[in-house]
Amino acid sequence: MIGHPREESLLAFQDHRLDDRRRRRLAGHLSGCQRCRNVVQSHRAVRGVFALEAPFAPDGVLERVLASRASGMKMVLPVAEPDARRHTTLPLRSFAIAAGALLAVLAGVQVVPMTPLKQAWRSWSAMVVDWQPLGGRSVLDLRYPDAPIARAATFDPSRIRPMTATYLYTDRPDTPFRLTLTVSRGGGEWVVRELYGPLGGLAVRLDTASLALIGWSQVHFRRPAEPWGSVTSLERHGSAYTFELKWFGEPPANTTRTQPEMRRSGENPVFNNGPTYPDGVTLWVLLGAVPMKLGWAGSVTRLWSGTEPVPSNEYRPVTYLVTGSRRVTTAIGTFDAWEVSELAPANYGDTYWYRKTDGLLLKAMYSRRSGGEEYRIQSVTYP
Amino acid sequence: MQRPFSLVTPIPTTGGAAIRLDLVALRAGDPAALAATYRLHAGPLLRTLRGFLGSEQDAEDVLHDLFVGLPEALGRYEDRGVFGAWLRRVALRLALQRMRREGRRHEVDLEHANPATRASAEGLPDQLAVERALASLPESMRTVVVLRELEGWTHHDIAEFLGLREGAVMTRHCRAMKRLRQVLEDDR
Repeated sequence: MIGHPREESLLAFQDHRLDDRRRRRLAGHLSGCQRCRNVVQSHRAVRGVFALEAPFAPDGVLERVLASRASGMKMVLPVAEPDARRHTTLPLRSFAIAAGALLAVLAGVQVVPMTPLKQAWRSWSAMVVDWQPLGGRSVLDLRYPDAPIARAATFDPSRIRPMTATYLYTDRPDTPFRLTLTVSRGGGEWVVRELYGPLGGLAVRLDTASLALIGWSQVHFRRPAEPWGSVTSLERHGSAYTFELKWFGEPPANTTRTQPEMRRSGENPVFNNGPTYPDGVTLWVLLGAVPMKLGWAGSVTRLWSGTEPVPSNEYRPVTYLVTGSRRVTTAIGTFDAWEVSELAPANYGDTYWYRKTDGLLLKAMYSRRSGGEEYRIQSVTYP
Repeated sequence: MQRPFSLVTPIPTTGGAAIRLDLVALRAGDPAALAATYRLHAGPLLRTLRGFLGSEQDAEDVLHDLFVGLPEALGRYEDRGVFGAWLRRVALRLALQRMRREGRRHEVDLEHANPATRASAEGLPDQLAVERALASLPESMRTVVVLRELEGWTHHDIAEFLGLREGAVMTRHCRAMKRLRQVLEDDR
């Protein structure tokens, strides 16, 4: 019995995607096989239908469009330049997640300086105090007069999607723990909520009706040395923990989140100012990045605080560079990813890998003077 | 890879001259320019969107949203003669957003569809039969075959757009084409 080529091969043959050897062999088969010739003919018939001229679109839709515009309706479209020369958000570094690890807050802002912004979360209002050009977009520093300092970078809002992403952070090999974020949409808002992690049940809402989504931001807290919250539930998963944190109350202005003191004896852990990471803990989870390209470089100013390597409360530029493109294997699969390296300041040289399709942070390596840390995605689910 | 066909259908005015895209007027939100652009591009767009979304109503909604937002979106478009391709890309991205936002829907709704052009050439199957078969495909297959066959995207581009592995795109494309051809063969 003569074997027949798979349908996939027949399609590849028609699309000129076979190498010469396979193409000749398949052509030889077709010349003597009516069955396969019929399949090819059917493919061509289907494609012939697709090639037919499309009918005109109904004028009813056009009338709706014109009426909508006349009434002042606005739509923000997911736009990309034709040559994909987009500018990207920058991953900002993540320090130890444990202590004041933060939620990646996606801030929707219009790029207008000194514009008061309504942040739906906790009803704090923020002012843009500075912005920098970043490959054609702007990175904004948002200062909340009565709340933490936040910073936003830019990204492509069309790539954000509802999902639940869990990251595993291995601060030390024996004390990894897990951060779970969910992104959902409702009522015209994107909501990013941290389910399990150092921030517990905090959520951020992004109003897309009045503010264009431009990126994610770091929320950095400062607080005097006193407990500001308590973990109300704690689960152990092997050597990893998941826990929920409840605030004692609204954090006062200039509060800083620092390394929590993890207790594994069953006692309810209480967070306090630990010494391990005096400059606070930041976690950047990039959700929805504009397409990057090899060699792209940009910089963003971020707030450096603490005692080392630089004095507290100093804004310093950090430069990032897309240094490579590679396949990255993670717990959720193997993907094409952009490799982004942090070039400055000294002694860090952290590296991030972002999935090319949507900018999801797959893995991060934090190279510290004391050793390496890794942060990697563990799971993503989409509703 | 050679594109199997062209999707751009110039529409002559009563004066015989083809409508040309006036980006300046369009950016300014001029209704006449928007209407001209709609008439130039909306037909093929609607067909692609209908195939992609599996619903005439959803396709019209996305088309509506696209053109409502188009003048402002052009602020980020650089005219390099690829407006049609750019517009289709934006439309598909909008459709993908809607699909993911509203969850999986499977809808065969061709009763109210724009009347299909009947095949005039002898031997070509009924276009409506193909569109029905397309609408009956699972979303996972339908989106891939629309991007491949209607838009002419490569498997690699489709994989990037949908967040899939290229191998998965090839498999879904193949399965979709197999189903479509089998429907047509049964129809004969």
